[in-house]
Formats: sequence, C-alpha cells, structure tokens
Amino acid sequence: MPGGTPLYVGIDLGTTNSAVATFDGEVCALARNSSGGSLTPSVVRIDSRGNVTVGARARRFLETDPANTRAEFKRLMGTAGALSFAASATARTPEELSAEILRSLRSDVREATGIDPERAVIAVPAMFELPQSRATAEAARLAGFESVELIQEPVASALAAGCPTVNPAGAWLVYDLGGGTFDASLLEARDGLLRVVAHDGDNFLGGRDFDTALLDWVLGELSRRNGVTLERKDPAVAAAARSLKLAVEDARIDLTRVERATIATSSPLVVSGREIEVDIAIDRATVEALCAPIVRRSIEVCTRLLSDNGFEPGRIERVVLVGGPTVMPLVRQMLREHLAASLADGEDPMTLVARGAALFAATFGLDARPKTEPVPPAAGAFPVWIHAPTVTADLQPYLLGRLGEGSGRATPAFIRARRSDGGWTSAELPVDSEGVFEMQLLLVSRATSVFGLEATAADGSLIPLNPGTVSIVHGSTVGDPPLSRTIGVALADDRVRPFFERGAALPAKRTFVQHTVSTVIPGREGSAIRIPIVQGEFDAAHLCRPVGTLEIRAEEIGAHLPAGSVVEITLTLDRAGHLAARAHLPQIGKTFEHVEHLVLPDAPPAKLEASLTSLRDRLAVLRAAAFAGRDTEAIRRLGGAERLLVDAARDLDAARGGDEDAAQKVRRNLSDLDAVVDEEEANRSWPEFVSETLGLLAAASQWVAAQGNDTERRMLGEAMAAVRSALDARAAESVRRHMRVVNQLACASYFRHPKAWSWELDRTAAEIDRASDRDEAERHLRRGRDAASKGDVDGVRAAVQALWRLLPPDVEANTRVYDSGLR
Amino acid sequence: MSGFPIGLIWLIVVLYRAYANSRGSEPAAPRRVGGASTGSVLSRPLSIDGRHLLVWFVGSVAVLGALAAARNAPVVATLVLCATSVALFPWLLTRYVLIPLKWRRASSALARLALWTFRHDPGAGPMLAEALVLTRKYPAPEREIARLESRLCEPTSRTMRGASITAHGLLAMSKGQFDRARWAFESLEMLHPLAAPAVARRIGSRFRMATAAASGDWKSLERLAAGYGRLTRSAWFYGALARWHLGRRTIPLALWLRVTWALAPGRRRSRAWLNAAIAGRRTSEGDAEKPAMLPEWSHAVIAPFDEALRRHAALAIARDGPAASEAWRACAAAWRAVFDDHRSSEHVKERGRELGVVKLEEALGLFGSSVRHDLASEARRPGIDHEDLSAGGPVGSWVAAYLIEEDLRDIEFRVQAIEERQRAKTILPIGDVWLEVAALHTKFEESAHRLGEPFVCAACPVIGGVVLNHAAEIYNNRGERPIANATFRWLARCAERAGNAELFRICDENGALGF
Amino acid sequence: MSVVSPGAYARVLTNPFIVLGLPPNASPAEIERQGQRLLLQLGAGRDGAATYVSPVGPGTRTPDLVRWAVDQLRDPRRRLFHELWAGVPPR
Repeated sequence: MPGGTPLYVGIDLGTTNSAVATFDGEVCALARNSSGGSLTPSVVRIDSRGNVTVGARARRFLETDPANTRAEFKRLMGTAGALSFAASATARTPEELSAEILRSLRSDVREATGIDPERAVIAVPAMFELPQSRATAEAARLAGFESVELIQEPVASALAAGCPTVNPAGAWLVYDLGGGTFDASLLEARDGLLRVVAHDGDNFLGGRDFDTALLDWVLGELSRRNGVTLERKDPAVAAAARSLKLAVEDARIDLTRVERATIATSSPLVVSGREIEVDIAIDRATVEALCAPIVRRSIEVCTRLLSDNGFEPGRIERVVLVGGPTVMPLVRQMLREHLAASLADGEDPMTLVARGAALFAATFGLDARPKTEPVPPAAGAFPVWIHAPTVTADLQPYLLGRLGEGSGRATPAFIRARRSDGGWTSAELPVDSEGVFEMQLLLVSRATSVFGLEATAADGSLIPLNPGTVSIVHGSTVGDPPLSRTIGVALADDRVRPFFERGAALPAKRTFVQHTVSTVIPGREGSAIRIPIVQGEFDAAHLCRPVGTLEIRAEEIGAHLPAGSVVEITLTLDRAGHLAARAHLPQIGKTFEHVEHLVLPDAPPAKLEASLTSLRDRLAVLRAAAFAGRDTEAIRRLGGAERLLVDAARDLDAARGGDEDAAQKVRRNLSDLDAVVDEEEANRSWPEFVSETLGLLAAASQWVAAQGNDTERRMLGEAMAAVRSALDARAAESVRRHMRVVNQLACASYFRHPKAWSWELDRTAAEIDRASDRDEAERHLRRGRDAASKGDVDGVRAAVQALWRLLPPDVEANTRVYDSGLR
Repeated sequence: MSGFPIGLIWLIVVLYRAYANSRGSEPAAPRRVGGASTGSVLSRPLSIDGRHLLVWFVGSVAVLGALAAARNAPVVATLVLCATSVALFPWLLTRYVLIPLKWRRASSALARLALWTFRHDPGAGPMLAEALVLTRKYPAPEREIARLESRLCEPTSRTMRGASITAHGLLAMSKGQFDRARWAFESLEMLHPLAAPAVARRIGSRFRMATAAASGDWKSLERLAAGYGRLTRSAWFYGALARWHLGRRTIPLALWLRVTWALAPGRRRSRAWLNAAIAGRRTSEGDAEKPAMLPEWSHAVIAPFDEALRRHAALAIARDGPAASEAWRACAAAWRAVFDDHRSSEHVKERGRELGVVKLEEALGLFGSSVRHDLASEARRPGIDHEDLSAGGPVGSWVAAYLIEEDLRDIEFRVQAIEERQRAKTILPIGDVWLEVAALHTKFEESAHRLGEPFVCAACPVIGGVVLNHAAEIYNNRGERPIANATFRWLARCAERAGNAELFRICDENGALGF
Repeated sequence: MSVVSPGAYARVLTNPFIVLGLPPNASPAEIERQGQRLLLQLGAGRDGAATYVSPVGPGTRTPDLVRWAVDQLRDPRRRLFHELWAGVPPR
C-alpha cells in the first residue's frame, strides 16, 4: 500500500455541465478548471486545424459556429452514429466527445493536486441503459483512466448530502433534474448505511425540455407578430433556433432571481431570407405556466416510485435536490405541494453529484494515485499487509493483518493498536501461527481515525512495522450499486430467462443451461445460434429492449449441431457497465467468448413512422371497444397512452428535422407504448378467449358423450379439468396444450358418427380451390360422392384423406422473437 | 478318446450359445389391440440360408474328425480345430480375444466372417467391432472415431439397423457424450426384433442396466432386467441386484448374487455394486436401508417449519433411488403441513410487518412458489415416479402439472425442430436423423414413466402428426426402412396408450409394411 | 428472487444467513460487521474463513458470495424470504 494521503476522484459528466471533485479522506473539494470555475460546460469544439476546445471557451462558439461545436451529447451515448465537424472534416462519436471532456477534467485535477489520476468514479443516470454505461466507461478509457467505476447519480448526491448530518435516518427521495435527464431515487438510511430502495426516472426529461417549451412559445410569438409560420421542425428555422435557444436559456436562468426578463438575440434571426427582430418580454408567471406540465410529469414519476414501493409521500424524511434546473422556485413550490416533504437546503445542487462520487471512491478504496513501486522497508521495519475498510459506518470495525517475510528479523508476537488522538488503545493481541492477527477498533464518530500499530517480539522488544499506521473514516456508506433493470436472455418462445434481477448487487455473474432450438449446419447461410440479451421487467421478451446479441456462427462450431443441444451461458456484469457473455457447448467442447459491443438500436424515422402508425391503429381499435363496452377504467388508461402517442408524434417531427436526440426519445416512448397496448389487448382478448374455449369444451363433451367410449370419456374429464385450472391461472399456453387433447378426443368421437365423413367431404369440397392439383382433387371428390351415395363409409374416408393431402397445410410462420436460438 | 468328453462339453456349450443367440434377443412383444401380429407380413423370410448351413455342416464334420484323430495327430487336429473355430464362431473370437487385445483391423476383418451373428444387420459387424475396440482405447482417438462415424453414415445399400445404432452409441460414449449414447441405446427397443442383432441389443441393455444401477434406480433396473430376457448373464446379475435392493424375497441368498456377478461380464466395474449391496444387507436388519438421521439446525425454528426445513435438507442430500423417493414424499408432506398451519403463518406475517415488508401477501406467495419449484426440480431425480407425485397431495399434483407443462414444452420444441428441418429440406447424416428421433423417444418415455397417463395423453397429439410424416419420409425418400418401421411401431404403442384409435390404425398399417 | 429453482441443495447451502454464520434474528449492524469481517479474513487468506457449516454439509465462501449474502439481507423483502428458508425462530 503506497503511503501518504490517498486521493479519491469523483466525476459528474452531465448533459450541460460537468464537474470533478477530490477527496483525501478528510476534505472533499471541487477541482477548478482553467477558467476558474468549478463547473465545466459539456461542450466540445473542433476548429479547422483540428484543435479541440472544451468547456466555457467552446460554449462561446455554440451560437456562432454551430457546425463545429457540439453540446448535449450525453443523451446520445451508446448510439452508433458519429457527429460530424465540418471545418476539420472529421466525425466523432459521443464517447470520443465525452473523452475530451474527461481529459480536460483530468488535467484540472492534475493542476489542483499535482497527481495524474488513474482511477475514478463516474456518476451516470440511474436509468441509463447498458450500452450507455458501457459507452461512458469507454470514454473514460479513451481519456486515459486505467479503470473506472460507475455509480448512479442519485446515490452519489444522497451520499454527499448525507455525510455532514449527524445521524441520517428514514426514507429519502433524491430529485435529480439535470439538463437532459431526470432521476428519482428512493433511498433508506439506517445505521449509517444508505440503501437504494428503487429508482425511477426519465432519460428524456430535463432543463432542456424547459428550454424547448419556451422556444416553442417564442417561435409562436414571433410567428404571431411577424405573420409567418415558424416551427421547430422546419430545417430552415432549426439553424436560427440555436441562437434563440441560448437566449431563452439565459432568460430562464435570470427569471429564477427576477420577475421579468427579455429574450433578445444579438443579431436578428434570418429565416428564408427574411430578417426577424427578436425582442420579447417574458415574466416568471409565463415561464412557470409553460414549465409546469414538465415539472408535473417529473412529480408523477416520483409519486409512482413511492406508491410502487409502498411509501406514502408523508413518509419521506427529506428530499435532496440535484441539478441546476431545481433552483427554479416553481420546482420547489410544486414539490412542497405534492410531496409535503422538507427540502434539503444548503447544498449546492450543481456539485453534489461530483462530491458524492468522490466519497464513493473512498468507500471502494479506489485510490487515484498511480501504483508506485513498493517502498523498500526501512531498516528494521517488519512488512505487514493490513486489511481494513477505508470508510465504514460501523463504529467498531475489524482490522486484519498478515505478517510478511521477515528475512531473519525477529518476528512480532504481539500487536497493539493506538488511536492517534489518544482516546483509545487496544489490548495486546497475539499473532497466530499463520502470522495473522485480528482486532476490533473503536473509531471517532463522523471523523477520520488514525491508528498506530505497535508490535512487540516474544522477548518484549519493540519492532517497527511497515506500514505502521491505518486511517479509517467513519461515515455513511452505500451498499453495492444495484442494477437498475433486469437483464436476461430472450428465449425462442417469447419468454425471458432473467440472469440479473433489478436491484441485484454488482458485480454479478450467473450461469444457466439452455438448449438450442434448431439444427445448426455449417455452410448453410445464416445458420447460427443467436443469444439475444435483453433488458426489462416484462415476462414477454418482445416487450423488453434488446441490449446486444452473442452470435455463434456455424463455421465457428465446426461440426453440425443438432437441435436440443446444451448451451451453458454465463453472463458477467461489472460496475462499469461491461457485460461479458460466454457460451459453452459441451457437445463439441468449445467455448465462445464475447465482450459485448453494446449499441443502442438505431432509429431511422421511416421505421419509427411505421411503428407509430401501427400503434395508432391498435389504439383506435382498443378505444372503440372500450367505448362500446363503457369500460371507464380502460378509457382512462388508454387516455394516458394516447397522450404518449401525441408526444411521440411531435418528437418524430423534430426527428425528421434531423434531431437525433428526439429520434432516440421516440424509439423509447414507442417501446413503452407497445408494452401498454400489448397489455390492454391481452386484457381485452382474455374474456373472448375464455368464452371461446368454454364453447369448444361444451361441443367436445357433447360429441364424446354421444359417440365416445368409457376411456375417452374419462380422459376428456381429466383434460377438461386441466383446461379449467389453466384458465383460472390465465396460462394461455397451457390452455392451448390441453385443448389439443380435447380436440383429438372430440375428433375421434366425431368421426364415429356414420355421417361424419360425408360432412367432411362437403366441407373439403368447398375448399377445393386451394388444392395443389385441381384435377386430381376433382377426381377424388367424385369418387367420394359415389361412395357416399352407395353408403360406403370407407370409400368416403379414403377420398377425404386423399383430398386432405392435396390441400396445403395451415403453416403458422414461427417468427422467433429477436431471432433467439435458445429455449 | 480322451479328447471326446472335452469336445462334447465344448459342443454343448457352443450349441447352447447359438440357441441363446437366437432366442434371448427378443424383447417382450407389446400388447396389441385388434390382434395385429408382429411379423407375419415381413417381406423377408428368416435369415437362415445356404451359406450358414454349408459352413456348419463342413465345420461339424471337421470338428468331429479332429476330435477323433486327436490322439494320433495332435498338431493337425489342433490346427483343424482352430480353423473351424474361426469359421464357426468368428464373433466369439473377435469379442473375447481380439477386442480385448485392442487390435482394431484384425477385429474388423474377423467380424466380417460373422454372418450368423449379424444376420439381422449384414455388413455392420466390422464397424461394431471397431467401435468396441475404440471404446477401450484411452484417451479416445478422435480422428479414428470421426472416421468411423462418417463411414457409418455413408449412404450404401446397407440400411441403418441395430448394430449401426449401437456403434453410434459406443462412439458417443467414448467421446464422453453420454446423453447421445443413452438415446442410441434406448432407441434399440423401438426396433423390430429382426432388425437388430442380439449382440447389439445386449450391449445396449448392459449400458442401460449399468446406468440404472449407478443412479440407484432399482425399480427401473428390475423392469429392464425382466424385460430383456432371462437368458443373459447381465440380466441375471442386475435383476438379482435390483431385487436385492428392493427387498424381494425371491432370491434371498447372497451366494446367488455372487454367482451371477461372477458369471456376468464387466466384473471389475460391477464389483463395487456387489460389495455395496452385500455390505448394506449385513449392517441393517430389515429389507430397506435404514433411514439416515435428519439434518440438524443450529437454532430453534418454529414448528412446523422445523420439520419441513429438515426434510428439505434431507431431500437435498438423499441418494438417488428409493431413498430419494421416500425423502421426497416426506418433504412434500411436511410442507403441506406448513401451508395448512395458520398459527405459524400469522407469526410469519408478524415478522414481515416488523421488517417493514410492503406487499406482504405477495412476498409470502413467492416463498410458497419457491418451495413448490424446489420440489418440482427434485422430482426429476431418478427413483421418483408418478406414484410419489400422486401421494404428495395438492403440492404433488401441482408439481405433476408443472412437470407435465415443462416436459410438453420440451417435446414441442423437439418436434418443431424436426418439422423445421423437414420444411427446409435439410439433409442430415442418417445417424443424426435417427438420434434426433431417439432423443425424442427417450424424453417421451422418461416423462411418461415419471408422470403417467396424463402426460402421454397430452403429448401424443404433439408428436403424432409430425413424427409420422417424418418417418414416412425416411421410409419413402431415404429408403431407411428399418428405422422408419421402428418409429411406426413406437408411435403405434404411444397412440394405443393415449387411446388415439386413428393414429394407432395408421401407424399399425405402416408398421405392417415391414422393411 | 425469480422462481427458477436452484435445487434443494443450493437452496439450503447458499442461504445468506447460513453463509454468514448468523442466526435469522441478527441485526443489520451485526450483518454488516460480520460481512466486513469475513471479507477481510478472506482477503488475508485465513483458512478458517473459507469454509462454513450448513445442514447439507460444508460450503465454500468466496468474497463474491459474502458480498452477495450481505446485500441480499439489506432489502426487507428479500430478508424475510431468506429468514423463512433459514428457519424463523419462535418468539
């Protein structure tokens, strides 16, 4: 263990602003950037010579040189596309842009502390999907960090807010409204341990949406005053809208302090050749009215989070506010109204996250200092390895030590620990035969305690130890960061095999045995085993979001693999969002390993348009049925879905105008909508399914009662009982299975009726158009009718069966969800 | 004439073996509804033909002559005896001399002469001999195994029958793929008696009996040994072993067990079972093994949870076989007592409220569900059958229904794979095609044995149509008639059990077409 | 807590209380402390910490298993589930 004060680094990589904080075990401070501020705007500019500018200096060019300046790329993390920079003719992915910001923050730390940090903790939104987390870790790697841990932003802010308090207890809500994302987290504090109960949030709700709403209003005002139509989705307006946006943002920030402000741009807007002056007065009331729906949406998320976990709003001890937009009085007022909780004040909401991340780094012992060569022990000092927590909420933690190689020196036989402030000394404890000693220490509450270790040899002489001191902080700790969404593998029959449940502690590793569904033949095109990995809480795989696929191609397998072969799948997920998938096929003794290159699926507007249309149609059907049935509950639920549809349509317009961010948002919303509509349809169709099944059962029992023998009657009784219990359990698949038996029994009895084959002949005759060989079919039909007229049942049967062979079978095309090759 | 008594004894032994060869190979004929007989419309007559008669006649003459001249010209007599042994009993020599010596090419060459032994599967003898040699080689020679496999699947005038299937199974075993070996050996029971040589059936049944003995499934072992035929040494030994463990009084003497063990092949490996059986008998008084002590808990647990948890742990460590069956029944009964007990459930709810659990009912439901799923997972162990499940009360019937669903889903997937392959017109090597059907057969029979009639009735419509078409295609298009015939026979039996008269009729008719 | 059954053996062997060697009525502070202590011992390579006793036989402790066990007992719902499997003590 390198000596000296440790350095723990925490980074908040925000949509609008980023910050970095350091913690040395006692003091947590923010590192200032070259402009002297503690916040660095998340803006990157690349000029024609390829020089990269980051931060406030780059932000100045957002208005004047938009083609080469990019901001707010956090929401695009994890997507595959690159953003282009015209002047230097380059393109950068969102990860690379974030890496630039991280590089700048890293040099800020170097300036402040003289150390180039190798390791850090980066805070990410709690509801970040796996590809987005992975992209963040990748950006850190590009920026030169050796290793990085990810922690959820609300947890970081809770940790930072909780530290100074004497004894945090009870339930906390972290309300994190950032530039681009909103996170609500419910935490419980007990005995100094902060535990995350649940997360909720919206990856597409933030201060940016305030600005968008205001922008729309301003464009409306300008349209009204100048007699033109200005809309955000119009590409011609988009260019001009950028400068407007900055002005709007400034005005919004001003209005948190004053009652009135003016929105004005330095030069008039140019739209389709026309010059439009911008000088609009705006007051706080207007802003609040415009922003209220957005804030209300965020509060809905909070109330949903509370009710899902059985908490009433009154039970919240404290609400921690994080993020710039929360300084708006409207937000605080609405929170007080709806949640009736006390708001934690006195903390700077813009820097809480970075500080919490640094504290978290201390809990993990993630020292940022480069690993140095182990200092050769001072003469006479006995080497020892100390195992103790860096930060703990336990006032009496354990410490373990293992003696190293003494190389001839006298071996310590007894160890004693002495607290540096003199307030406590341990008893003299013996070192056991393995060279290990264990002792329980007493810490100073809510402070850093330094303990000196004294070793004595068997003869009583003092032996200095290296290292001779241990430093432990007593403070709040957080449990292992939990996974925000269940991750699993999609199976061929639309089921999901969950590997990591929501709330599972990371890092985690799990193995399951599955079987292949089809034969894999090398050389055949497209023959492969596909293992789709999905994220989501639904039982139906198609409602979950795909995160990546592990594909084992037939050529890699070598021999052909029959269906039903065993595949052992192991998924490993670490705290940096790295998902490693490994598939082992014992049949051929090969293992296939892939570290997933997770990428969010792309969202071309055409595809989104198609999904939108189909969802609209399905909703219309459901709405009509709900009205006809006067189902008020369903109407209410569908109302919510329709609002989502309207929002999605509006964002799709913006996406067509080139807004990549809006496209991702639409993809997400349509996916959520799909789940809602699916559930509604299932609810609707269930009663129909039940009545249909009962009808079939009634018909079957009639036939079997009339024509069946005793065995068949008994078997029908058992099958019917199974069907009824499956209906009670709402297991549609099970119902279908047992109905097959019922059908077969019913058919057996049906065909015992003397006239049954003749009826079949007539029925088949009606479908004769579908026969593959029309003449042949006609011949059989004639033969059948002859036999019927003669009363020759066998002849009729032969004819009908021959006809059946000529008709094409009803083949249900089995499209596998996400093309999964597993069951 | 001192050689004469020895020669006579030898001749008797040899004739007896020939007799056993032809009789002991038939599995018990299935019960038929409607009286359709087994082999009356086969297209080929029984396979004794002129070659065999000639060889025997000449051989017998030579033997008697050699015995008569033994004293006068011993060397010549010996040589003549050797030559006639080779001609008359090539398989005996291969099996008991060349194969243990691991001489692959020699065994293959000599097995070519074994016309009588392989009369039901002509041409497959050499390959079976090679497979037997390769299983004895350790480590398994991969290239040779691969080469033999491709030779087995070569499309020739020869069709796939019992010996080829057994060879496949042996090769799978040497590669360590015990699943595939099991499918191959169990599929032999589907074949018509005249499509599989007795040798192949013996090998297959020894594997099955050894597996059953290893997993402690004495009931199945008894069934297998009885069903196989009483004239083979393995069946004697394993049957005796099974009856011993089940406590049947018909064979009480330890001596009989030892005798049959000594006579049966594979003594080295089965010695452990012999010793375990006899040792078990010595320590305990009664017939069954003494129940093991229930595991202890380190703290006091509320009743009736304490009994249930102890039984659950006991089930976890119980040995497969009747011990597991008993443990399962006891565990199911103990958990039923827990679910019925109101006082303890109130206590648990109180504790939940203390801890601050929201949606308490749901949480407790999850616990009950986990108990049932554990019991369902344990119910798959060898030794637990539908009697145990039906004795388990409501929990038992839940487990039975759950296992039926799971197994049906498995069968559906397998059938779907066959159907997909047919639709895509993929051509696989015939060995793999058969193993696919064999896997389905194994899975079906295993589930039918464990879950009884409800499973058979529900599964029959699933497999009926597709497998029937598949078999018909194999028969017509690929010309592999014996295995198609085997499939028809199996489907007919399934249809009969499920009471599906229509399917039975079709399969019976197809089966009667012979091969 | 999905309904995939790990089998009766794993169910008893990997119960968090049994892994940590604590009774089901242990307080949260005791659980944290014991978890920390075991992690330290495993990190130091103490032999005694690597195996533990369960009703179905001895089990092996790894740092991942200990961390998992401590985390499982933090959520009240999961704790109740594991208490039921470890054996709820009478009052």
